[in-house]
Amino acid sequence: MARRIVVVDDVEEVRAGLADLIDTDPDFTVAGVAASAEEALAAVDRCAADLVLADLILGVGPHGIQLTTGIKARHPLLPVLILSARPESTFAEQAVLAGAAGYLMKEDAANILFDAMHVAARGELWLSSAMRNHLLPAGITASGTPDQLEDRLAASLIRELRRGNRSLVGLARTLNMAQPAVEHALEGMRKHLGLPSRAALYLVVG
Amino acid sequence: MSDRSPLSAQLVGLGFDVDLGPRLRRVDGGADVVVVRAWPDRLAPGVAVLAVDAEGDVRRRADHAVTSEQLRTDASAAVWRAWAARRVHRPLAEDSDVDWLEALRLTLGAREARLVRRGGPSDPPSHDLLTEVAHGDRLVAWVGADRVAADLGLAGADVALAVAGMDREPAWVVAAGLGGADWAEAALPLLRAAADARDRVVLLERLAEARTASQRHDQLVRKLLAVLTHDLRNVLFPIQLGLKVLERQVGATKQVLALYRSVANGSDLVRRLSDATWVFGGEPPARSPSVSSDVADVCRAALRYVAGRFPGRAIEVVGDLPSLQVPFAQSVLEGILTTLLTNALQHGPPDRPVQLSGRAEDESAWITVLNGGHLPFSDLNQLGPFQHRARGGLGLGLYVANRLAQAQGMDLQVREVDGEVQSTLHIPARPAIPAAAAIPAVAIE
Repeated sequence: MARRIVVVDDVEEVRAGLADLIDTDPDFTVAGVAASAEEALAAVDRCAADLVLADLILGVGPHGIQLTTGIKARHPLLPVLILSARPESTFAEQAVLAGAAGYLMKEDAANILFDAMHVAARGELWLSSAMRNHLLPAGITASGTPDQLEDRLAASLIRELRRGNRSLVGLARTLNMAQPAVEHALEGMRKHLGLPSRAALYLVVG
Repeated sequence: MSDRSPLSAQLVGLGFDVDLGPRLRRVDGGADVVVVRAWPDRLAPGVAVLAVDAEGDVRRRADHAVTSEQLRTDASAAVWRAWAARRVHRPLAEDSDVDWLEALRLTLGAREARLVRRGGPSDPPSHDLLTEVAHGDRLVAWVGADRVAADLGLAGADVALAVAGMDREPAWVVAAGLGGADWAEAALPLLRAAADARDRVVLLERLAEARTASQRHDQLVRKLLAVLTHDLRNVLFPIQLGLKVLERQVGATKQVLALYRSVANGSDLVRRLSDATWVFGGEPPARSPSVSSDVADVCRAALRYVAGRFPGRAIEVVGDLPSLQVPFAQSVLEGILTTLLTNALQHGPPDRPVQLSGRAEDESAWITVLNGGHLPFSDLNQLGPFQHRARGGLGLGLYVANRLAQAQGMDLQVREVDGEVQSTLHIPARPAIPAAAAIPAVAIE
């Protein structure tokens, strides 16, 4: 059964182009389109979306990262892929920390879109190799593997992260914890594994 | 209230704002008094000694720069304040707590300063100095012979000194002189200097205004270009998506590939425009300390890109590409290498391959692009000012690439060696310039 996609972009031609391209793959079908974050939240609920493909800049309203936070508050496991003409080196990490399943540059998107969508649909994190290098430079490796963490909370966090539940709000809701406590626990894991950032932790765990 | 005299006319001719009014009087014994309203250089207030000769010509006797060190003394500051107050005709008595004559001496660095009045040197300056002058008193600040008097060649003569104002406010330059010495010689240079000082102040103000306007202009240009490049990408993106749909439906036909190339060219132009945005905006892109790229990966990405743009053209990779991690964004490195390869393909002989080679040593990588033929331009000015289109391009790509390289701490050299054009990019693993601060988690505009 084809996965149901909601396309969010404030430019009509982009929405139409993405919808046309997505519909050429039998694994996916466009269940809804939206021009703003507000429309997107409504479409996600209405269409029972399996994946959201959202532009970073959505006119003058809330942007794609804010939309991701909003979606994750309601649907912690729903993958959101951010699509943008803005440089990934500036915004991808913010998107990932908000819980996005990945960040695609528009200039590459036509060629990598389906790969990224398949990866995101599996709950994994999709980032370009350049962005992965940025977040986790060569030579920096985790001191140990996440599975060696014996703490019960850590195990729960790892399980959720691997399901694609990467936002603080989503983790807090699923694990019935306060967001600061989730953040504290993630920070402890990051330090324990010797990783440079929380986004790098997501890469290693995922 | 002002009776314009020939003297004031001269001063006006020199660019002064002169309001002599009743304050210009000949004092007894042939003494000359000049009261000039001027704008002294705010950075270097000075003391002027002026005189009017028997013909009514303004002459300079001496002028003394007041050093900032002197101005820092309380006494000097009090003098300046006293003189500033005079502009509103407040009597000196209000500043009775100030030994202004001593302050004047300190300001001038003189050995001695004393006030000589008709009533006697011990009389305190009980009322407005200018009024005293206007009333014909012999108002004289007698300054030590080794300084001003020597300058004047009037040792032993009575000399009145005037103090120019400070900061940007117009102030009174007051001078009085006695005796028939040749005061005229030095007057005009002084006045010109004072006029220059005023002009400098005006020019400084205009310069500051121009700089502000220029910065505002730069900001607007950068905003315009940033918005333009973003919007152009949004225009190109649906075309790329449509092409992908077409390719999936009809395959990678010759027509589809031609369209791909055209869109790739468009993307390349947008990228260059984006690069030029900061090159001409004057603000290099931030280099994050955490950014890292592998030189070999970057080379391969650039090769893939130009191979798509120039199908049928041969590009040879000579030897192994160096696998070295360098602290530059892949997009920046790829942009520079793409420009070098594109230039080589565009301007080299079409029947000869372009070669790409690289080496790494001492924590640096050197990437060289080699093509046959001659330099596309008659000289290497494209590394500086760009060229005109008659030579097949603006030369802008190379110019921007060079500025990008320089701003990031790399080095780009282009030269002709044995009939071949060789472009070499030096990529240090530890650039000499400090890395820009890490990109903050900025709010998205």
